[in-house]
Amino acid sequence: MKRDNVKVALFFIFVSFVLTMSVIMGVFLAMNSYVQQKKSNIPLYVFLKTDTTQNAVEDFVNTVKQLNGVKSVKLINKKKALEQMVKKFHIDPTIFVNNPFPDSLEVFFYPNYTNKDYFNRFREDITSPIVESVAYPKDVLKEIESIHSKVIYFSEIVIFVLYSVEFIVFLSIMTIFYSNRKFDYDTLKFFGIKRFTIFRLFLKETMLPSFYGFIFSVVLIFALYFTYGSYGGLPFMSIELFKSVQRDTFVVNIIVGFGFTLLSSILVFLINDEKV
Amino acid sequence: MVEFIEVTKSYKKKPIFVNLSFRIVPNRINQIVLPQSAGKSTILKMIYGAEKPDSGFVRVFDFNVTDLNYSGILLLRRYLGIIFEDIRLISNMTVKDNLKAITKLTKRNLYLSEEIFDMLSIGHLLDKYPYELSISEQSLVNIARGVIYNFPLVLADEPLRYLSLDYKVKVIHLFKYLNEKKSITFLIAALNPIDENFYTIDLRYEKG
Repeated sequence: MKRDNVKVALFFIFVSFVLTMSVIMGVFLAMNSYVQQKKSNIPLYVFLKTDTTQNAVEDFVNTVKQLNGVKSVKLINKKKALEQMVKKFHIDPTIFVNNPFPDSLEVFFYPNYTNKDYFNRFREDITSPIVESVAYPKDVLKEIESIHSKVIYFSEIVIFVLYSVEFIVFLSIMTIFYSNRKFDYDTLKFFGIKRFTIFRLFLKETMLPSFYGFIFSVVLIFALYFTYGSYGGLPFMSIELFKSVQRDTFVVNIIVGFGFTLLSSILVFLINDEKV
Repeated sequence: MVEFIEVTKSYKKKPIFVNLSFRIVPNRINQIVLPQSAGKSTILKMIYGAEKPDSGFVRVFDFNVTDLNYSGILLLRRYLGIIFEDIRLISNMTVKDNLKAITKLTKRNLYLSEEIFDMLSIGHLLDKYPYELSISEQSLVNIARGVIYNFPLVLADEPLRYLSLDYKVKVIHLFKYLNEKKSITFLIAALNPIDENFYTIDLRYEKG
């Protein structure tokens, strides 16, 4: 059979849509994941009273670990705190008669909980009598929250614009596709064939290249996984993260791609097709 | 079977016919003879509902085509064989699929008279695509598609246009055979009279 260039064009548009959008969304998700990772490295400090017993500290650590949003808890006891300070500032340890440091906790949260509001609420909720004070690096948290919201905003804008452009591309190729077939469809109407039957024929013709595009994209994605797994590895994008974000975005874009094909086919047919 | 009563039709505000009236003779091969660009195709298109008259009546099988809605026009077309001037084979279907498209897509179990393949010598073309055929071969397939289901009325718009003399003879022989043996009525539009035995319709109209 003669090569049908419109079908070939639709096939490549589908493949390029799925791959481009998957890679771009994958990059944005990786950026988001990187910022979130940085965010969840910001601790909330809980300073305990100096007269607290070791058992009370351990009980308190276990209680904090159970609280909502807590990823990990690091106990810094007073002895360790003194050693760290002496080491850091090269101070003679004999000048201290008593250890001036209290026991303290560094509480790390999951990224969604690492924000000013949650930290403040957390501070108010800790009502244990052994707690002296609660603090966190407000400026650092504010800065990283601001960066995170900018990354999300920028990603959403770019993805919205790209999806809009891609949809226009789908509409354009469908218009070309329909114009290419209009003469044949009109002929079928002259033989009494229903418009709905012709629409099904058109839909079958447009969905088929998209389906082949999907198969081809699967092969390409697996090749990409293999290549990245063997030779790749960006410093802040582990192979596992790469595969997981690519898999998610790939599935989303396959569905969106089929949705765009279907929607643009329906729109183009309704706008261009004449009844008889 | 087909009757035009005082039909007026204009194209881009330029009248082609004013008060055109004629009637075809059932069970005969009728021919309309008109010069180039005088409205032959327009007459046929008005019969199968692809063009509407500005005024007047086009009666086909007791229906007034101008009154038919979308479903009515589709129904009417299912009883018409059409041989197009511009051939109009479906580009991505083989000859066989082109011939069977009507049954396949309308899900009707129509009788396909395969003797026509032999009469037009197109049996060897069945698995080919239109682009693989010469213009005269495409024209033969177009003719075959119009007559293959033994519809009661066949409309043919310059059917012999692209054919060599020997094929013209074959096609005329086929038309006569289908008319005599199967009582199919033909309405052929042509530049010149095709055969002296065909009934030439007397078109009555005022020139635009």
